[in-house]
Amino acid sequence: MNNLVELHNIYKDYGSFRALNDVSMTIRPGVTGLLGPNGAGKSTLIKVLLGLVKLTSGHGTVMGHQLGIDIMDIRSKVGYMPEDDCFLHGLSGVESVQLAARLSRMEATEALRRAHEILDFCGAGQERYRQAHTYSTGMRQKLRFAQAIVHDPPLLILDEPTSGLDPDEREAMLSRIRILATRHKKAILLCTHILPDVQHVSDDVIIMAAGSVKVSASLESLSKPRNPAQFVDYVGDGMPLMDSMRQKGFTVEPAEGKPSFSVPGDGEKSLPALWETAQQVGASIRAIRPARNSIEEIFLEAIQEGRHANS
Amino acid sequence: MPIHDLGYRQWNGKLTSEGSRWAVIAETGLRRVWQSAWIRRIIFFAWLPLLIFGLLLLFYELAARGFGAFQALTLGILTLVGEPELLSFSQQDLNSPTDAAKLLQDMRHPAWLQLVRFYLRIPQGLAMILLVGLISPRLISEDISSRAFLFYFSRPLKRYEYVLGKSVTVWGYLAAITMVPAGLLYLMAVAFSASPEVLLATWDIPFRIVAASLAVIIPAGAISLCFSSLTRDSRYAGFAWFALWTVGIVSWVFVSFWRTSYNESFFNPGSKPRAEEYLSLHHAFGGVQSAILGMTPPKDAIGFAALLVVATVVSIAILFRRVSSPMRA
Repeated sequence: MNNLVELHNIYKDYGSFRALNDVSMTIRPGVTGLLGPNGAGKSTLIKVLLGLVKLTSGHGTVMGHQLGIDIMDIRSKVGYMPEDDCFLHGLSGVESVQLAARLSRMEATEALRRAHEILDFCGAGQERYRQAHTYSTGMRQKLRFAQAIVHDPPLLILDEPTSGLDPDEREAMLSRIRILATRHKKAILLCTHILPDVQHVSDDVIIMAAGSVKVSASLESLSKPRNPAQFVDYVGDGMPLMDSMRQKGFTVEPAEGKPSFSVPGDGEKSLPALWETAQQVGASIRAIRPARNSIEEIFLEAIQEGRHANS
Repeated sequence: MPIHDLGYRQWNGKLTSEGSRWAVIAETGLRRVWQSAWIRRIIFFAWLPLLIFGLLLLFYELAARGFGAFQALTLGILTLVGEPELLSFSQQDLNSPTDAAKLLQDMRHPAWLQLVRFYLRIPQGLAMILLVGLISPRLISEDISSRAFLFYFSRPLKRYEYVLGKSVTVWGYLAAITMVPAGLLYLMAVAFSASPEVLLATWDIPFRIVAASLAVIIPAGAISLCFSSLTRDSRYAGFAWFALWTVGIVSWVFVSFWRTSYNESFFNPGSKPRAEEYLSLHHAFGGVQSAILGMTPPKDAIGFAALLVVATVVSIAILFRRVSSPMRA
């Protein structure tokens, strides 16, 4: 699969402060979560991708266009949803989205039609006719999202798209992101502090700290624990099942306070034995889950490694 | 729930031309400004002097056809609003209505230009100050305060397109109260004269009107947008704009008063233009407009023109710098 973004040895200095330090990364189609603590360089990286700031050194391509050279070509293929409020005084929501479409060279009437279509997709309702500066946080997020996608860009950069949303709206926003990625094959760079969002929708994860890329891999590979295990949830008394498994030579570790236990290993041998044993002792198994690293663990580990490396 | 929600659909429509983005910004700006009732009121009042000047031109043409009742009135008004040395006539010229009519026909070209100059400089000049002070300060400062730069420049928009779009917004409204009514004034004058020969004799006036209007519109737009780009609060930009005019005119008044009262020879007496006129933007604009309209020799306007060119270039340079700075941070 072709990489949509390729960065090689990117450096960006603001005076004596180095905001990006030897950043190299690739972004594939699908959803890529961009994580990092404050000051990690995420916003600078986005500005570099959009050509809003000049590189100190390094090179790269976005959708096949040279970074820092084919700036207008890149911007025409990227939809950017900024984190901060970003609205135009005196314009209603639908006018703002129409303007975004027209700046992407849509004809005025078509831009208005498209603006309504996208606002429908974003669930904007009748509030679209109100002045944008009167919007609630949730509505502003929808407006920024609509402005970013109205021209149907192949690459979306979404900066904190779920920040400030209530649980229902957050779920709806993530669902839209997933629809765009899966059904419409958009490449999405999702920059967020909300780690469960990344786990929910991302295919790949990039973790930045102190201006450098600490982790860049697929979520699938990152989620695989160093010591694989299978978590077994049971109903009723689980002791006979655990004892029988131990007798068969498997290590069983009961979970504290929960009707659950874990069996180390990738499950290739343990799972057939588990089903067989459950049948023998008459135990009811409710669920079997492979152990996975949580995104929080992955994130903290990467940040701590970064801190150790810096100290 | 929308009645006809289609969900997300890909878009493969026809794109407009590459260079149309500035026009989109200008159109949006023009529409937004028009939403203000105050702006609409000022434009309405800015068009009222056209009626008075149209009436003056009607009197002029009636007087030029020999209607004695209008001749003394017309020449009196011209003496009031124009440069007397350019409209040299004596009481003897007015003794006979026929002689006066001949005189008025002969000096139609300078007389019309005098009226246009007065029209552009006084009523429209004041309306221009007020209108720019209400329109320009908000155009860029609000984009800075609402972080709209990220909205604009994350799209394939160049800085010059943004600046041009904002400038055209100001230029459009300024043209609507200067160039357009002055041009209409000329057409009214031609119509009142009821003579096609007048067109041949005054063909240069529309071009002079366009040039004289542009000489004000472009620097005023650049300076006011520069102020707007320097702050997040449009009130400061508005204050700076009005202060620039007020301080200039007040300085001119004080220095002129001081010169005539105490030390006439301090600033090269008798020279034209006088040094204090460079303190006032109003006089600088007036000096350039007078030269364009043929009231003063071009050499008298070189200093004013240089001043306005420098002010415009510096303003545009600051404007371009400021337009990118919020993104560099």
